[in-house]
Formats: sequence, structure tokens, C-alpha cells
Amino acid sequence: MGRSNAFIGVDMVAQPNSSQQNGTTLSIIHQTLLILRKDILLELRNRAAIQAILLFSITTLIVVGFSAGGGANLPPDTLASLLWIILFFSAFSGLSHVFIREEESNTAIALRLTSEANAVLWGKLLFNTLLTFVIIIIIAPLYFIILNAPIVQPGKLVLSLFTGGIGLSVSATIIAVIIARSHGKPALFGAIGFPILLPMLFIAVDATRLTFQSYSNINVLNRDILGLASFDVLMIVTAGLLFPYVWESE
Amino acid sequence: MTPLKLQISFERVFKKYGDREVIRDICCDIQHGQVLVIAGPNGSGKSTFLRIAAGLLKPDSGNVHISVNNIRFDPQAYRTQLGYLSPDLTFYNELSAVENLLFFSSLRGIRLQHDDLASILEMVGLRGRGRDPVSAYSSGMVQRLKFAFAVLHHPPLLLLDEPTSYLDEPGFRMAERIVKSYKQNGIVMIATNDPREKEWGDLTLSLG
Repeated sequence: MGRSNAFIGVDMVAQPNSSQQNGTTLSIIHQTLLILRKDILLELRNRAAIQAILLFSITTLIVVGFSAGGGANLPPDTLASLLWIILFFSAFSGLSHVFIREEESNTAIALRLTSEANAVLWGKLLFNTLLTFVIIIIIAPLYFIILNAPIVQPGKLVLSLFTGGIGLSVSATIIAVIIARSHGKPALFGAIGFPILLPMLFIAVDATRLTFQSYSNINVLNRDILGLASFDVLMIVTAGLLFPYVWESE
Repeated sequence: MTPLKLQISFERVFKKYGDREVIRDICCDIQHGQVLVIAGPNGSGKSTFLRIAAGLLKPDSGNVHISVNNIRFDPQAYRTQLGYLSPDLTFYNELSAVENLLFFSSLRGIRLQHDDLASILEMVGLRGRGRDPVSAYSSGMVQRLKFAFAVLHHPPLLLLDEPTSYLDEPGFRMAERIVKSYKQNGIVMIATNDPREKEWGDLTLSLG
């Protein structure tokens, strides 16, 4: 086996120096990847999150498609709003699983006994971000086809969707852990998440709307995308600061 | 290699849930090579005491120190190094026992070889069942897997809450062998009301 008992003691005793801090960082990266891999494996085996997401998103997409009659006459504002409504509720129907599952099945105890709090956060966050990207990759093209959306700036559209997607996944992850650790009801997830995400959703809808308009102001569009990226950074930093306290709370 | 010398000290530890004091003014020292049995009626705080020792719960007041070769650690900092088994510890049902053990040992930075896994599974009586999903395990098999999880990194501090629940007679003897073996290499703390488990202790802490 890789380590002896004595080495465990010596390893913990020494004062932190730069090389050991590098070791800790490496350990957190290693643990993050292990947790991400484990969550992907669990999702591939039970498909709890992806089924919930796809069921909601495909159903909503079809209903919106039918009611909009192909969407040819829908203005860009409505097209962008409907897209983000679908993405928001699709993401929130599935992204909470990743933490609530750990708490409800009590596997969080084993995780707390074996890993650093930050590794758990980054592992879960990466998993939720991957899941959000999968949702975007499936839903967005279908939406554009069904509603016949006029995409004028495809590059900026992709950028706005993915920066917005990161904001969705980071917010969903930290809200999920708060609810899971407080033994709250999963139904609270959307209720708490919506006000936190409202500013991000406004910017995302505006950015997406501008990518549907040939006469749009490129500076406003760039400002929106920068706003989305800033929101992502803010949420990632907040999650990193908040998570260890929430994870260790009783 | 320096031989490991372990000690765990509880200094005036208090813990309450709401208005109810569960742990009140506990002071004790457990030395390397000792087994502490924590006994008491249901709800007397046995599991809470072990969770505090494991760093999973913070006391409302008082201190817990784990000393390794006279250097002190907070239980929370030492948490990933100790072995812990309790009724509320569970594993990923979608994964097999081997996958669960590999995952948790990798998180601890230990690369388990095939022989290591085989010997751990052999020790806890799960040989030949390691590839089965945990969801297909009986309660007794899950309890055996908990022992494998608790000892796979050879912890010097082993915390066992109701260790022989669901175990049959061979399982009980397996638990006894593990406690006796780990007692020689460190400290074992057992929360129990089972008279046979109480006999393993060198010290007894009665709660409630």
C-alpha cells in the first residue's frame, strides 16, 4: 500500500511550506477529478439527473414549439426569453441531484472522512457544468430549429450560452449544497435560486436577443458577455469562500 | 521509520442539541494501545461522542486533541487519517464494493493494488463478492464493507459505533480480530451496549 502509518503522522505534523502547499493543491486537483469521475459514473448508471432534465426540457420545448406555431413571427426578445426559461428550469430540475443525493443517502459522511471540502466543491461544480453544457448542446440547436430562430452572430450566441450556462451551474451547485446541508426540501431549490440568478438571466436574455438581431450594437453585446463572465467569476469565488463553512456545518 | 505514538484527550467537552445536554463535561485521556468502550442507554450521546472524536461534529465547548508523537491535531484536521464506522455511514449503491473502496482509498491518496483489495475483502469476509453492487448486499455484508472502509488505510485511530450490528457469529469474530489487531497499533474507541463488545475494552466511559 502507498503509505505507512508513521508517514501519515509525519505528513500531518510538518509546517506548511511552498512545496507542501503545492502537494495540497495537487491533492485537491486529484480529489476533484476523482469526485468528478465518480459522479459521471453514478450518472451513467442511474441517469437520475439527465432523465429529469431531458424529460422537462424536451416536453417544454415541444409545448413552446407548438404554441409558437414554428416561431417565425416571434420577436428576438421573446425567442431569447423562452430559450433561457427552458434552460433555467431544465438545469434546475437536475442540477440539485448531485448534492442532495449525497446527503439523502448519507454518502456525504464517507466523503467528509476522505476528502478536502474544496475538492468536493470543485468536483461537483465541474460535474454540474458538464451537465449544463450537455443540456445546452442538446436543447439550443433543437430550439433554434423548432422555432426557426434567426441566428445572426453564431459565435457570440455560443459564447453567451456557455458563459450563462456556467453561471447557472455554479449558482445551482452552491444553492444545492445549502439546501442539502440544511436538510431542506428540494422544492426550495428553485425558490432560492431564482432571485440569485435573476440578474444573470436578464443579461443572458439580452445577450442572446442581440445575437438574433442584424442591427444590434456590438458594444452592448460584448458588455453583456463580459457581464456574464463577471457573474461567473463572482459566483465561483463566493462558492469557494462559502462552501467549506456550509460543508462543515452541523 | 519513527514508531507512531498516539494519544487522544477530551477536555471538558460539552455538546447539546437544542436545550438537551447530550455530552456534559467529559474529560478523559486514551493512550496508545488502549480500547475505550463508550456505554450508555439509547440517546445518551455515545454516537455524538464518537462523531466529535472523528471531527464530524464540533463540541459546543471544551477541546479534543489527537496527539501523534506528541504533536497535537484538531480532530477535523486529522479526520481523513482515522478509521470510522457507524450505522449512518453508507456507500454508493450503484458502485460495487471494490469500486467504493478504490474510490475512497484514492481520495486518501492510497493506490490499492489487486492483492491489497483481495486481502481486505478476505479479511472482512467479502471474498468473491467484491464485484457485486452494494445495492445487492445484505445488511451484514454492508457492515463488513464498513469494516473494510474503516481499516483499508491502516488508521492508527479506529472509531467504531455499534460495530457488530447485523453481523453473524463469524462476522463478530472478524470484528474482534480487527479490534485486537488495531489496539496494538494505536487506539480503538467503541460505542456499544453489547456485553460481548464491552469485554474488548480496557477503559469504559459510561454516559447518561
